[in-house]
Amino acid sequence: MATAAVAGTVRPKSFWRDWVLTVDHKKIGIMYAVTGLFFLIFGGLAALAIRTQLAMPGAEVLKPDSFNQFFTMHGTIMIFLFVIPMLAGAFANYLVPIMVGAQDMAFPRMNALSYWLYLLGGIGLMISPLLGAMPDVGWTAYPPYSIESKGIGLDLWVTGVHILGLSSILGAINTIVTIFNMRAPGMTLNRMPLFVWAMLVTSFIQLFGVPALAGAVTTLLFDRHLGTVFYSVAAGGDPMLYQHLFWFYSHPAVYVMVIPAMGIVSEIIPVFSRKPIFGYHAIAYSSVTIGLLGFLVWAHHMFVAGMQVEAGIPFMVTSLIIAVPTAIKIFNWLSTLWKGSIQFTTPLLFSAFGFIFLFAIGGLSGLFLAAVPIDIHLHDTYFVVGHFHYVVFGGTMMAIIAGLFYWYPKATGRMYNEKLGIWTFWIYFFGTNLTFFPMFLAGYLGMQRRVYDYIHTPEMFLWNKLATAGSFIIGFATILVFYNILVSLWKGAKAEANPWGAQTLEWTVSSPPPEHNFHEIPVVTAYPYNFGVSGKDHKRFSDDDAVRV
Amino acid sequence: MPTNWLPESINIIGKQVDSLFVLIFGISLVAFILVEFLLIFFLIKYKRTKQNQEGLAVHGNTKLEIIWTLVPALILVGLGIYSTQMTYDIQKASAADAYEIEVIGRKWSWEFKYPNGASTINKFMVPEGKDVVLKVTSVDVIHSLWIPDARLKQDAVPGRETVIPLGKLQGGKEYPVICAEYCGTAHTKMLATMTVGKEDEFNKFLADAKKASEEGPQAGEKLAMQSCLSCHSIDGSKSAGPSWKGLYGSEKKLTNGQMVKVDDEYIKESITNPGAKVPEGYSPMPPVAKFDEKQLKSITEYIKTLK
Ligand code: HEM
Ligand SMILES: [Cu+2]
Repeated sequence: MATAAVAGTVRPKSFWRDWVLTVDHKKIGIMYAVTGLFFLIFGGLAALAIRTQLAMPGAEVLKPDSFNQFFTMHGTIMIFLFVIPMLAGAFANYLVPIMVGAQDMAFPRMNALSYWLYLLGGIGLMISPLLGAMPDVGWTAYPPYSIESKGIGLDLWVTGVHILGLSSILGAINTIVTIFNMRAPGMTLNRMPLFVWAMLVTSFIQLFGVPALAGAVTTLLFDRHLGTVFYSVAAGGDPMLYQHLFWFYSHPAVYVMVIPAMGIVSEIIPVFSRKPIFGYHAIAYSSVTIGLLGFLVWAHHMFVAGMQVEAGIPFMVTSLIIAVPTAIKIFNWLSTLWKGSIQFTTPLLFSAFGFIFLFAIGGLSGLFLAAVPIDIHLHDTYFVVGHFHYVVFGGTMMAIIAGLFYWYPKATGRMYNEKLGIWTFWIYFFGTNLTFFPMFLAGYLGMQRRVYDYIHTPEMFLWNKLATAGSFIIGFATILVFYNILVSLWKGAKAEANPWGAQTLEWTVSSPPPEHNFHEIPVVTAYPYNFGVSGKDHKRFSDDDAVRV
Repeated sequence: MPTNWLPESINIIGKQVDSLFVLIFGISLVAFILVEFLLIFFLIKYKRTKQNQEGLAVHGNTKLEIIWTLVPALILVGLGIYSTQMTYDIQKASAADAYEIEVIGRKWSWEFKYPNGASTINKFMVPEGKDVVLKVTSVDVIHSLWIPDARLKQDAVPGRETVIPLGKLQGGKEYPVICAEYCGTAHTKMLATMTVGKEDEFNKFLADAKKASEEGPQAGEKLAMQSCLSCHSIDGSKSAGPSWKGLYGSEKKLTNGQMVKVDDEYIKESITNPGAKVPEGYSPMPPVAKFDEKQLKSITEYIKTLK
C-alpha cells in the first residue's frame, strides 16, 4: 500500500517500524482487515467441506468426528475471528477517529495491543488443527459435553476465546473514549456519522457482555481441569447456568455483528442516492434501543432447554419488540432511496439490494423463532441455520463487502474494478439465496442441525443439493472479491480524495490519508448528510436540535 | 387459513403450531412484499440519469415515522398476546390422568420406559386417542427429543426432568424421533421411531416389550449399557476390555498361554469370576454388578448378536 509522502517524513521506514510497531489507527485497522480476511478463507473452506459432505445422503467426505470438528471451527472462526474483528476491529479502527475528526484513537498503544491480542487469540484457536486436536463441541461449547470432550483442542479454544475477549474489551474502551473525548470542535453527538453511533453502541455491548462469556468459559475450563463442579449434575452443578451466561453475551454479540453493518449501510445509501439520510435521529436512537433490548432476549435460545415453557414468555415479548427498531431502520433506508438519484455502484448494490433485501428475510424469519410455540418445533433445526445465515451472511457479510469496496479508495489510494464488483454482487445474491433458502424448508420438514447425514428423511435430498450448489457459487464470488482487492492494488486507477462526493470527514483528506489524518483539526459546522436540492424540509435538521456534550 | 401445505401433524398442539406458523408467515409475507417491492421500485424509478442528478433534500417526516413505528409495534403486540395464550395451552396440555412414558437419552440411543416396567430402545409405541406425556431426561450429556410430526421437542438434560405433552395422537405411520441437540460423534444417528397403536395392538406391544426387557438380547443390551460398555466396545475398537464385536465363538489366548473358545460358559465365568481367565493383553476386569442367571443369559444373547 502506498504511503503518502507527508511533509516532514524524512526517509521511508522499514516494514518492521512501519507496520509491526505501528500505533497508527489506520494501519492497525488495515492489519485487522487483512488478518480477518485471512481467517475468512479458513472459515469458508470449512463451510465448503461441511456442505460437500452434505451434498449427497450417505456421503463419506468427512468422517463423523471430523464433520463435528469442521462445523465447530467454521462457526468459531466466522464469529470470533472474522465478523466481529472485521467490524469492531478493522472498520471501527480505521473509521471512528477520522470520522470524528481526531488524529488517532484515544489510547494508540492499547489499540496496537488489541490487535496483537486478536492475532494471538486467533493463532490459539487455529493451532489445534496442526496439533491434530480440533475441538468438536460447536461454537457454543455446551457442557456437559464440552467437559467430557477430550483433547487440548478445546482448552486452546477456551484460552483463545479469552484472549479475544480481552482484545475486544480493550478495543471497546478505546472506541468509547475516542468518541466521547476526541471529537473535533463542532462535532456534536448529533453531527456524528451514523457509523460512529453504531460503534458507540456496539462498544458498550462488548464492554458489558464479554465478561459474562469470560465467566462461562473460565468456569468450563475449571470444571475440565481443576475439579470444580459448576456444570456437573452429579455434584449439584447445573449445565443450564452455562447457557444463561453464554447467551447473555452471545445474543448481544449478534448485534455486535449487525449494528455496525447497519452503520455501514447508513453511510453508503445517502451518498449514492444524493439524499440526506431519512430520520437521522431515529436511526441513531434505534441502535441504542437495540443495544439495550439486546441484553433482554438471551433466553430465547433456551425455550426448550429445560425451563418451564411459560418462563419463555417474557423473552418472547422482548424478542418480538426488538423487531420494531429494526423495522424502523429498514423504513428509513427505503425512504432515503425514495426520490433519490441512485447510482448503482458496487457498495450501493451490496448495501441496498444485498443487505436490505436479504436481512429482511433474516429478520422476518426471526419472528417465527421468537414465538415460543413455533420455536419448540424449530429450535436446533436447519430453519435456525437458515435464519442466522440470512442475518450474518445475507446481512452482515454483504455490508462488510459493501464497506470494503466503499472505503477501498480511501485506504489504498486506488479504485477497485467496478464492473467486476457488480458482477460479484449478483453472483453473491443468487448464491446466498440458493444456499440458505432451502434450509428453511429442510428445517420445518424435520432436519436437525449439526448432522453429517440426513438418512431419516428422503425429502431432504433436494434441499441439501441446492444448498451445496449455492455454497460453491458463494465461494466463487468470494474469490472474485479477493481478486478485485488484490489486483486493484496494482492496476486500479489512482483515487482522488473524495471519489464518491461524500461529506463525512475521512473524505476531506487525501487518499490514503496522511499519518495523523488532519494537518489542522477540522471545525465541523454541519451534519454529514446534507445532500440534495429543492428541499422544503431543510429546517428539520437545524443545529438547534444538536445535543452538545 | 389453510395449513394443509405443511406436513400433517398428528396431534392438536401440532395443528395449533401450524396455524400460528401460517399466521406469522402471512404477516411476514406482507411485510416482505412491501419492503422488497418498495426497494426494487425505488431502485429502478430513481436510478441516476442526466435529468436526475440530485436527490430531494428531505431529512425526515415525524408523522410518517411515528406511524411506521406504531403499526409494527401493534402487530407484534397482537402476535405476542396470541402466542402467549398458545404457550399456556401447551403448558396445560399435560392432563393429570395422562399416560406417562419415561424417556432416557444417552450417547447415542433413546430408551423408553412404560408404567408396567417394560422398556424399549429406539422404538416406541403410544396408545391411540389417549393423552400421552413424555418425561424426558438424560444420563450423560444434553440431548433433545424432537418429534417433527408432533411439532414438539424438549432437551434431555442430565439431572432434570422435562415434559413433552403429546396430547392425544392419531396416525398410522412410523414417525421419526430425532435428537436435536448436538451430543457428539453419533449425534446424527441418534434416531428412533414412534408408532401410534390401537388398543389391542398397544397392549400386545407392551406385553412383548415387557418380556423382551426381562430376557433376551434387548434386556442384555440394556444391562450391558449400564455395566459393561464403558470398557467394552461393540464396534471392534480397542478400549479397556476386549471388544464384543465378533467375540462370541472366537478363540482367545489367555494370559497363562492357554487358548479358549468364547462360549456361554466362558462369558459367564468372566463376569462372575473375572480373575479366572484373563485374555492376553488385558488386566483382570473389576467386579461389576451381580447378575442373576436370567440376566447373564440375556447378556450372552446380546453378545451373540454382535457379529
Ligand atoms: C459460504 C458461506 C457459508 C456457508 C455455506 C455456511 C454453511 C454452514 C453450515 C452447513 C453450517 C452447519 C449447520 C449445522 O449443522 O448446524 C454452518 C454453521 C454455522 N455458520 Fe455458516 N456458512 C457460511 C457462512 C457463514 C458466515 C459468514 C458466518 C458468520 C458469522 C457463519 C456462521 C455460522 C455459525 C455460527 C454456525 C454454527 C456452527 C455450530 O453449529 O457450531 N457462517 N454454516
Ligand atoms: Cu443427542
